Amino acid sequence: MQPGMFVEMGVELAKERGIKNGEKVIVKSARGEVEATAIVTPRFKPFNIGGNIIHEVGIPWHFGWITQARPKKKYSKIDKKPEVFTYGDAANLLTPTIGDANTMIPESKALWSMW
Amino acid sequence: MAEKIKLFDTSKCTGCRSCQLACKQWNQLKAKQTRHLGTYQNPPELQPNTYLIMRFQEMEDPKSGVKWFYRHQACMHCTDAACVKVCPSGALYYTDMRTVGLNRSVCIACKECVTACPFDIPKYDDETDKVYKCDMCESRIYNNMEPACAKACPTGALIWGDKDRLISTAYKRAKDLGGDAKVYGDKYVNGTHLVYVLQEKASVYDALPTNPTVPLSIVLWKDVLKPLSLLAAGGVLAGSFLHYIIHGPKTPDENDVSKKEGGE
Repeated sequence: MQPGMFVEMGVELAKERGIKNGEKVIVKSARGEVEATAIVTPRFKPFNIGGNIIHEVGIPWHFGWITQARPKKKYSKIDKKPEVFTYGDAANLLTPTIGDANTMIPESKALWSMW
Repeated sequence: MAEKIKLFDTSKCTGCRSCQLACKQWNQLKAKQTRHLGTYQNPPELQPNTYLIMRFQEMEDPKSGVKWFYRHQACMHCTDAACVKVCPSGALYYTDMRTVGLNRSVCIACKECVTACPFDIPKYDDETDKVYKCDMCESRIYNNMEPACAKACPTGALIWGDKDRLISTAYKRAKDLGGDAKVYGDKYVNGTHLVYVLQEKASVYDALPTNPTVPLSIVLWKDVLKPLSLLAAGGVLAGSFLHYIIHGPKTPDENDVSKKEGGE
């Protein structure tokens, strides 16, 4: 029920980066980058880990190839055209494709990223 | 039919939006393209095809930390409804259950209800040229089912039942919550049929009027001027009839010398 990719971040981080609520931002990691709408919220607080201020952000995985709008796509009569489109990239673009060999669980439940 | 209300307890709501989805499904409402505006609230406001939305709001309290408020925004089904009062075609009406129904086939799209509603609920649609709002699932409640939204609620934040019982439940709950918790809706506009138990003061919640009333202009227009004008129209008719009885019909008076044809 969200119309697009978003990233939640703390007020402190948003202030540091000059980001306002509802703005488009780019989240980058060593692997890739995704575009998302910023939700600036007091729910995320920076951590103080060994004297370093570490910020946490939250992004959903959900958006990606299937739901990405392709306005130029031609729909044939038998295709069910979606009523609305959701926009955004998949969070998988940021993560390495590494999984546990036995269980096939991805290693990337949480990851480092830079802006 | 027994008077029933829908009670929404903000303290039990988890913001899952099952009610919003169930409303869309039961009423077979289409979706509309929106874009992300930096909030979970989607669509941003009520639309002709969205009778009900969950409003998301955050508040940071230095003492108790961050609070997240969810509010179920839909038609309040007032007992003294401004929309029914202004509706000239009878499209908006009170049902036997005292909810406010909407018969769209007679709606003339004058949009008077849109401006009159103190809660800003009815929405006008350009394409169909009609007004849309929640009808408390009339098709369901008349068949002894609860509204779709109340049926879908997993936490019991939204319940449907007899008015007396739920009002006392609401007051008990507000008392248990303590602090600023209060019951909203049973006092305004002669009692709404969607009643809230709010965790905070009503002024904290956005788009929630703290003292909703039927606008004074509408009261003047519909309760004072309209009866007066009917009385005046009736007075004119009664007066002419009385004149007819007393004086009889006007006959040409040939002996009147003071009246000459041609003027000068």
